[in-house]
Amino acid sequence: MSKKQSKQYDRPLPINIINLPVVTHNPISWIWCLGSYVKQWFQLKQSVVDIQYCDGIFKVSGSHYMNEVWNSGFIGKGILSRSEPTWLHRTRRRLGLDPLFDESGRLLLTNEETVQIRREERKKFKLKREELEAQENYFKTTGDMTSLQKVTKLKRILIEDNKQLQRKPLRELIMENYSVAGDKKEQTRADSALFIDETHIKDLEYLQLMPVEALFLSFCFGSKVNDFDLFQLFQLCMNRSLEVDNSFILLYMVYHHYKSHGWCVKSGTKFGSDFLLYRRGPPFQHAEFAVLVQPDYKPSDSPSNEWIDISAISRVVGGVNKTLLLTYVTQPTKDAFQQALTMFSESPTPHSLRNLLELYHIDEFIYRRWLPSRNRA
Amino acid sequence: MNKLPISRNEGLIFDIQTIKNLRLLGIVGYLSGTLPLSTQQNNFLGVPLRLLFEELLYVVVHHSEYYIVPDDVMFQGLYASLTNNDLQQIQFQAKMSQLRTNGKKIPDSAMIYNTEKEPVFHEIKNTSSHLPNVNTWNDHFNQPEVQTKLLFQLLQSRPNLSHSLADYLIFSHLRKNGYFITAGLRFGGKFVAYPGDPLRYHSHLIVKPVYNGEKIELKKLVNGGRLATAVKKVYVIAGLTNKIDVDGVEPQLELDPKEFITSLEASPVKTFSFEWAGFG
Amino acid sequence: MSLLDVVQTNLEHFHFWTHVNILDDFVIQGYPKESLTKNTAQDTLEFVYPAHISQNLSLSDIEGIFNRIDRLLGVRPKRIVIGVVTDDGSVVYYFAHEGLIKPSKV
Repeated sequence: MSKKQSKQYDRPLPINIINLPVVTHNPISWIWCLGSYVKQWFQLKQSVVDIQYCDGIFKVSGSHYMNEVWNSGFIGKGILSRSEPTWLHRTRRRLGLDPLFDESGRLLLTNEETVQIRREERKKFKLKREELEAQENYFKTTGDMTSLQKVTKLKRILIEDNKQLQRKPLRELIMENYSVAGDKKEQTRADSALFIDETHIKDLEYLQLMPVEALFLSFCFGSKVNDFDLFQLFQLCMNRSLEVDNSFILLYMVYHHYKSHGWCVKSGTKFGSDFLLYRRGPPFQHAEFAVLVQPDYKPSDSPSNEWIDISAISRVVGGVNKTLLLTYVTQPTKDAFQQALTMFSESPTPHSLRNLLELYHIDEFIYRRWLPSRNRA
Repeated sequence: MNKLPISRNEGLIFDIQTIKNLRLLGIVGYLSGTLPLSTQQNNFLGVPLRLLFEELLYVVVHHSEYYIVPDDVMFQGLYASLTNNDLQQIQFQAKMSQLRTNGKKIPDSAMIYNTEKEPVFHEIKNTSSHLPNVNTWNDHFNQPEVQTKLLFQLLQSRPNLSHSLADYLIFSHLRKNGYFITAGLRFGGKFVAYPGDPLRYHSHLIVKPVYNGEKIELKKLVNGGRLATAVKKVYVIAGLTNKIDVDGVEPQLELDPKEFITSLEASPVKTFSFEWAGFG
Repeated sequence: MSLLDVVQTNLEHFHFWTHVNILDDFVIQGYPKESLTKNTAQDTLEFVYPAHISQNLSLSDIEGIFNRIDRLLGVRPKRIVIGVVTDDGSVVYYFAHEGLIKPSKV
């Protein structure tokens, strides 16, 4: 991870702080400190970004605002990207409008482009391997042992080469084989409606927020969602069913719980779970935990997970080297919930929402597949 | 004739020859016995072979050379359900076939038990606990009438008969398509299906039954597809086209379970296979 | 944006499908950048049924998709693609085949 990226993502939450230099006994350092404070105070950006809600989707548009939200805690997802909204950059490079390397010759590759190149390499390798395997089978049936040995040797070399290739830096791979950048041919393939003029294209991407993320930003940092007050937003997220066991509130409790313990929380649908927990964020490392939110009893609006389903999820999660967490949310009584809800509807402030959420409790357990023969150490 | 001993409503086979014969029919079961000297090991399991309920049912319905032998509990249930007339008939059949095996020439017409006639052999139903038991009845279990009653008893022991029948029909659909089937919990399904003997092939399908035209959560479907693709398999959801009304069919099941289950197998099973599309 | 629009945009601008259009307001047809069937270079028309992760489908719902394409075009596809829109807006694609198939070699 480069220093530049570390700096880009230095805020885990949308809070701006003033970094003061070390103060010593030397009075000059006091002045230096004061000067730094004043300077940073003036530079302090307003980082609260407003959210639009339409057609059931919470969005942030415009690359400046998207980056603001993404860079302060990796909230949201670019709808045309794997996570960080990079569609405009990628598309401009694909259409040959921007170079692939920066002035200092550094490769400007996004996550998506890396994945694409690696997948293509793997595909090529598999085709070659299949070809050799077909030959192997042919020689096996004809009993031509010398040819068979030759082909088997070729296959071994191919597999070795592929291992080498996987370790090879992308930069070299691209220099040798690819013309990802500057492909004017792609321009003719692309939709002409995409172009504003010869060198500019429309930005079709927006950042989509999960409902829990929208409520989190609004509740804790004062982001506006359309012109809803906090209670109206809460109602919207709860799908207008204001019940103590509504699945949204259970999800939100868990999201907020891990967020406030410093984890980066993203959607876990990819791995059949509710959330993924990253120690810092997606650009830095893979997620360590997959979270499955469990009510303390079966809620009215969702079927509970059967053993067979938890077993399937645990296999998927285990297969990608993550640990499965079953996070149980203990609910308050209906009366206590109703009382706090009424207070919240009368005064839709963060304080009253906090009073409501404080009625819930969280417990977590690790779920791991256990094999008697392999776990006897 | 091969015996299928039942223990606590489950097929539990100790006889090696029967295990071999079942394997030839595509019935795998799973070995569950451990070694007396190292009871904690589970890599080299031996007899008894446990049968899935679906496997047991499949063998009994489709292969008349196999018959169920009850355990004590099941036998008590059977004995309690018999009328005096049933008992006389069973005794009659047993004696007649015994005479036949001893070399007596008896015409087929004489083998049919006639209730009009004065019975030749009498056994009055006895409620004292130590008289009839599994051992004294050993020769009677292969009679079709007894098998019918035992099979019905077995079906009644299922906690959810409608689901069990659906599971069975899916099992039978797969078996008839040449697949070998084992339990699938470790892959998040009800069954795992192999294109041939599991000792020779990797499995192809993870099968999840959908009951009574219910809907399946897309979340589970995506998860199943993802898991299956990761282990080079396909995730299959399977269900019956026609709904089975369990309460409505119980009289038919009691009368002749084999016949009725065979007739259910004629109605189609719908399957869809899911796998990752390779992008996205 | 409707589910159809979300999936269509995703196919066109994230996966670079061409000739993408909506058929009878329920399914999207188009050509992938590279054939989705193994070992075929030839471009094949694919049908994508958009759905949301929170939806539930019965066997007859899935059969209904095949039936409707069949009625519309007079050809019953062997398989369709289901485009599932998840809670964070990403779209994942799965093949749904009618009947039992062999796993494709990975």
